[in-house]
Amino acid sequence: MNQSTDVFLRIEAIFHEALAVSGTAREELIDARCRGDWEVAAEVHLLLDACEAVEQLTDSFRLELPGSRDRISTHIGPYSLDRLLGRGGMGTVFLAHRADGQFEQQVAIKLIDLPLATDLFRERFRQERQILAGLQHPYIARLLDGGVTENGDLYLVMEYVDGVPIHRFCDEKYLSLAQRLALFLRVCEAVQFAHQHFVVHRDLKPDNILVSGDGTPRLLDFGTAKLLSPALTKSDSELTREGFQSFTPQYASPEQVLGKTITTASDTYSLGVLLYVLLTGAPPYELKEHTTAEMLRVICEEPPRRPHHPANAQKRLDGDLEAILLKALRKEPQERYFSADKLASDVCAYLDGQPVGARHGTIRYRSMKFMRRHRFGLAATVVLVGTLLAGAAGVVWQARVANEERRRAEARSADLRQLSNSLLSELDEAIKQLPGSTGAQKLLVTRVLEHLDRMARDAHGDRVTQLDLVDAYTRLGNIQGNPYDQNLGDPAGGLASLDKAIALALPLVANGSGDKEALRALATSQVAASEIRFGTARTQEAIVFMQAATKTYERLIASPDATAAMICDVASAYGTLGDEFGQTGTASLHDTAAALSAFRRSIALDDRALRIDPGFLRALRGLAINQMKIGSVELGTDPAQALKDFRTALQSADALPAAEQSTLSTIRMHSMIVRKEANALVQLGEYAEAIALYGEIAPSYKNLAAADPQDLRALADLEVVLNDEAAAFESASDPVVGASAQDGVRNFAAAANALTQTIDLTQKMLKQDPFNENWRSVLADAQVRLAVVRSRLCTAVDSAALARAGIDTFKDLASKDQASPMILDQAARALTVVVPVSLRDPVLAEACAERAVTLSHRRMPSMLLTLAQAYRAAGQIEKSRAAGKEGLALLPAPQRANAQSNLRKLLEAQAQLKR
Amino acid sequence: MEPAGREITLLLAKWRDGEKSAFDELMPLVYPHLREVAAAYVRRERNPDTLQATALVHEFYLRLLHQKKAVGEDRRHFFTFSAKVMRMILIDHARENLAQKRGGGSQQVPLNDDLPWINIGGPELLDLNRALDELNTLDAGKAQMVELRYFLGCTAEETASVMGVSKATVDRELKFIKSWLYSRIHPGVAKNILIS
Repeated sequence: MNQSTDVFLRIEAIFHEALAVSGTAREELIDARCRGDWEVAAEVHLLLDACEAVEQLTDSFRLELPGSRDRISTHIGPYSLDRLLGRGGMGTVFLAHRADGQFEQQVAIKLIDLPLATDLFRERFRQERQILAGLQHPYIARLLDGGVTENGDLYLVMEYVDGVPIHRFCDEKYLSLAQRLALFLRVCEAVQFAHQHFVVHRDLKPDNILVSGDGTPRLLDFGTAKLLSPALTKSDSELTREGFQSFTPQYASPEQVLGKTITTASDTYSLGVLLYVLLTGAPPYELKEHTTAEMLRVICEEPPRRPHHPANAQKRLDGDLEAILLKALRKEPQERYFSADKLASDVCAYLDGQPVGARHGTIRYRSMKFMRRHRFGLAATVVLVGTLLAGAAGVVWQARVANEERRRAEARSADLRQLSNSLLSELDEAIKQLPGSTGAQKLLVTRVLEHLDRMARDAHGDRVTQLDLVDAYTRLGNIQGNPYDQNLGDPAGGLASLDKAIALALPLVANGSGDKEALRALATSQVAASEIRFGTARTQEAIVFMQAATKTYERLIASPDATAAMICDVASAYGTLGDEFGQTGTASLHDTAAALSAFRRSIALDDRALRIDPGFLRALRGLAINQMKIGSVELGTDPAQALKDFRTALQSADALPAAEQSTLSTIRMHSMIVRKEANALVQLGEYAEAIALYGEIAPSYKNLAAADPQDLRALADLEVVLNDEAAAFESASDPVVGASAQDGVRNFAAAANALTQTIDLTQKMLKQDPFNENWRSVLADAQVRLAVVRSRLCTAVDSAALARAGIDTFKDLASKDQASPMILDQAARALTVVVPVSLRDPVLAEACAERAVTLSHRRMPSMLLTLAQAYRAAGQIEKSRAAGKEGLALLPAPQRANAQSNLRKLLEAQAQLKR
Repeated sequence: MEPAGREITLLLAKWRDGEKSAFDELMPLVYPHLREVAAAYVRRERNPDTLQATALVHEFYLRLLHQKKAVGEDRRHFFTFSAKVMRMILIDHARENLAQKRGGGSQQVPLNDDLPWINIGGPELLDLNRALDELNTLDAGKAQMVELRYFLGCTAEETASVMGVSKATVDRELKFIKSWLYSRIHPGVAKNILIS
């Protein structure tokens, strides 16, 4: 036959689609795709047959070859393989017999294509196998044996059934309706028996129900699906376990498709589909496209097609049978037949001419539910599970590919690259679309991890594969728990992955090897390992890893041909190292000197990158950010110096190219530096100038926040400006540090205004993320401060309630072991100064302040001030004085009398306290 | 008298641009070497490690061009060209073999483990040749893939790299191509093949 290229390519497209499905689904797909073009359909059928023949030939060719490790042996345990019977979803099935002459029984051996089996899985496999071996029923093909081959593959030995699939048997023997129902009843009997023994089939379909020549049905693969579901521990959620389930879409229940718990009702549903097919000759649903989305939509939402008589499309099926089918096919498990037995009773009733149970409520059901589209669950759930299923399917497919590839070292590296690129991105995408971790996401991670571990065992001496593995483990680790990325909230898992990455990478850079790719891969994983540790407040360890990363990086850029991009990666590692040493308000060591030295090294590297490429944007931005970070660290002790730093940072920001100036990230960075400049001015008592600066940047933040009220970052940015502005007004009205005490009332009013807005914004933010502890703390802080300000304005409307809400929040936050020093410091201050005075709690305030000071390594003067104030409130004057002095000692010597910072004045007030 | 590398590069480019004469000019430069590779192919045992045809071709190419490293387009052109020549050599071998009625008692060695139903020197190789000619008119890229993967003996990954596609694409296309070739070589008997 001659073909044109167009037809040829069309045939190829249909061929690939059809290969992805099997059985009646495949037939339907080909019909739908060929749209009555019989020549194309015939060619596709021919090619699919050819494909099967080619695979059999290739399989048996491999089977013929003895001895070779990467080929299937002709013996498995005491069994001798005779021929290939077929390939199923989970592996390859062979006809075999016992080779030791004990029995002359023929058996079917299923060699399971599951490359990810762990030892734990094997153990569970062994246990479950024993349960199934006990399942003895004349209509159930027995599981005889099973185990692990010499190559480590799992296999199952089943009774060999010589028969044809039930629907073909019915058609080939021209069974009458009554005969079909009678046969179906025997299937129900077998299913009921298994259910009574707590075994669910999970994949009931005609291909698994063979009828022998004498008309006896035999159910295959009972419980195999469960046996092969990779639940790792009993405590795993059902979703986790079921999410991975393999099934045949045409016969799968909605809960199966959605990855929900599978019960005996799922088998009842599949029995309904089977009965539908036996009675009408067609499946109840038409899957037009074989995509996950389509599968979810049709199975979970669409009503089944109106059942018609198989021979005559005009003729409707008997009303009672229709009612039975519809009840068995209900979307909600609890609405279906309670058991296979109950379904069988209704079929019996029909055969006996008795009233059918399913008829009850049918009319109402039809009119209300059946005719109109039924929505099963939330559309969002469907999308969610769809994404995850697609991911899981990808993993399974990938695993299968991997299993073949594992046997051919040639493609291992390409396979792995594909894995890290496509699978991890898939996972990444799934996480970005679905914040919060679900069992299925974690399952995906487990699958990927097992795959990688398997690859790692085979990768000895293969540098390229090892490098790919390092990258893959690093990406996985970041997805699992890096707080700088969207992650699954599993830092321990992330660290375990990164340990593997580092262990693989270290030998590649041993003996001073200048392998750049290996050095880069190692450094990237060390950075991630550090970031995760910093995120979980294991700061000392975080610093060890980041220092290791910078050492690795220094080796990488030691050569003069290092690129600007490479150098910027190193600069960024130093920047994070500086944060870990000295970032304020976090779990950093609050070690100013070490932080400054890291930031300065980062700046030096940015400069070096700019010498290579003067317009290199990352370096230009890096300069501004590092200078700002230096200022932020110095602001705690030396606001005058910090002010200079911020102004330098602003110059760097303004030197960015014009096109860059208008980008959102640059606008944000610029505004942040201005805000910090204003904070420094407040510390120096320059209130008017500071307040002018806040006024300068607030409008752009307000515009951003108004543009998208859902944009949490914009809201948070605006909140910080308003909060800082309020603090400026509060300081300005403080008699100890205020320059213009006579403006007290005006300043208090302005502070009240800013605080009210802060509260409003924070409440909006908390609506989107109710458990964010930092924001809860900010809200409580603003509530208490507003209550204090109002009492000073003598407009104490509702302030007691406001103050109480704030104090309650702080008591809750402070009761947590992992409360951050910033939150504890705020809590201590609130508990010390809150109005009404009855809400004050000096004992708790003291405890909070002590914890904050300890957590910040006694290096934060502002926190020592809070402690001193808490001691004073508790009447412990000596201690207050000591804390004040301790804080003062951390400050640099004042250079000019009029450049004294607020902090110094306040600390001095405590240090010189008199009884 | 090894020709200059630049000359070969030029001829390869001309050949890619469709100049038939370039093929004829290249042929004598390449043929003797590829014959050696083909001979190893024909002699080989079933252990695929004993023959690394692509390694030999690669080495030969480097020697031919007096280069240390083969990269990019030139390398691709050379591989597709060599694959075509290898096909010619192996087909010639089969014709010769069948004409002399040899090979009756000798062991049947498949062209590739992935194509166990086509033996080197067997009549089905000539069927394959005809089917490939037909495939070439429908989709020349697919015929080229077969030449690279099965005649030159590239791995799937190498084939992917030479053709500038992903390995997954190669795997997927080959599945179809093999089925298509099989249906052309064994018309009507695709069904009900059971191997015992």
